[in-house]
Amino acid sequence: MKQSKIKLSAVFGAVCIVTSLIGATHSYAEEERFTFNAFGNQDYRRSTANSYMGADSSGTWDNNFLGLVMSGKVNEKTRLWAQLQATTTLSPRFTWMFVDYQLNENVSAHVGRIKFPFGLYNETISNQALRPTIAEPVVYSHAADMTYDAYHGVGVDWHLGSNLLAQVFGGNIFVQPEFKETALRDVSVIGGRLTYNTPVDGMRLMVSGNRTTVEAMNNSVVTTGIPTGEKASEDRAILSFDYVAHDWDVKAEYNYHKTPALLTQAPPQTTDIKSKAYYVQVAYDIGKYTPYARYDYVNIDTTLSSNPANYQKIYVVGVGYKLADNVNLRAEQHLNQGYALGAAEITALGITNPELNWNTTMISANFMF
Amino acid sequence: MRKSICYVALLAMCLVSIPAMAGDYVIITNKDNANAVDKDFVAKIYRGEAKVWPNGDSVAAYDLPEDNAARVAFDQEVVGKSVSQMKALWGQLIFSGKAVPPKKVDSDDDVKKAVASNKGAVGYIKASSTDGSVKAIK
Repeated sequence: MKQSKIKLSAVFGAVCIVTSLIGATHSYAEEERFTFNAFGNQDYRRSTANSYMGADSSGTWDNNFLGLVMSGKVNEKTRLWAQLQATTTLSPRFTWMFVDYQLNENVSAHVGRIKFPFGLYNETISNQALRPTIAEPVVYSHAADMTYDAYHGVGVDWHLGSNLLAQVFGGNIFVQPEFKETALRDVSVIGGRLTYNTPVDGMRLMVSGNRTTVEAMNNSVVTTGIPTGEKASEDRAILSFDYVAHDWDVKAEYNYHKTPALLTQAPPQTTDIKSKAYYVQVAYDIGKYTPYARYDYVNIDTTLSSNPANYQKIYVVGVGYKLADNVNLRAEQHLNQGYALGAAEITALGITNPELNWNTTMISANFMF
Repeated sequence: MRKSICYVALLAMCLVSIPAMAGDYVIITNKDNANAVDKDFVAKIYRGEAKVWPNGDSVAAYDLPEDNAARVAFDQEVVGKSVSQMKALWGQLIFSGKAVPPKKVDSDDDVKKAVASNKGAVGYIKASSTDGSVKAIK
């Protein structure tokens, strides 16, 4: 942990130096050859019971994120992109890095490690300043297992007219080394997203989906129950609504996820596991203040929906305060029913009688420049 | 009753027929830029959707400060978004690695100098600031 904090400080220092240099290099005589943008947040989180995102009744400051997004122009049509990140718990690393090639005025292609085009938030989920709330909607929570961070492969963005964007991609899932399963090998992922900018000012509709295929490795029978060499596919789909105009920010998403029986943990299930999550979120700007509310629901096994270990309802209320143009302070309260997202931590901590109703309090400072 | 309906209809017609207040700005490109472009294409550039001109040359776009009247009118009338919506949009584009935002410059003169010296440049300035160093897009 101490080593991680030292690395975190080093990255933060590098971010500060680089971003301070940027200001001195702006010039209108040339177009941007290199760009550097940074973001970060520091949170405090405390739960009244159970444990979620490392926050228990004693509270924790171990929730922070620093990111540096860099781009460099290679030639008229080609640009390199990368995001360097550091957190309290993970060592510094490139979250994504790819080459973007502009085929013509409507079509671009990218190759490398690329964030999934999935729903409203997946590509920018680590940047807290780009959403009104501290905690991301549960749809995007790692505990819900409904999204992946990035893939290694090829993606194409195609603007079909002024209101429609089609994105398709294919490759392999990129799993952070700390979370890689030794018993399963990611074979492939394919997917896409369609974004429609409606004639209503500020309103977008999206549909996204992807299919990942994995193959069981040696010893998988022991660890997961899947015979070695077997393949299985998971499906994810999300419908998104977004309205940002006239000081309002309204979002709603519905996520569906199917895990085949073959991929379920030992002992393997006989039927597929279907899970779902959705949320409705409303924020409104009043001068420097942005009050907001969200209702989150997740069910990680719809056939056992009454089991509180499988579902979680979260009523979120909070307020943001714009301290400066690119710096925000936020406070947020979560009223939780059920503990599906905290189930792994509850098991790990040996909590034998988890609370059905529990609260989480969060405060945060974030920046982006 | 009939008179009231006539008044209401007349008022409605007046409201509908009032043209949108055109902002005091003009879109400019380099004089040597031979691409046939219109406001829709320029809007795509400023939304981060178009990064090259139809002939394949790369685009270099320029923005005036957020409180500049020409900027406010341009964002609303050409791009179809408010200045704050544009900031949010570019935040999404930059931090997902989709596009590099237009370069910010301080004044109409800076925009003209930049556009005049770069074949792929595009910008907007106050209409009265136009001169022969750049080409205005109708």
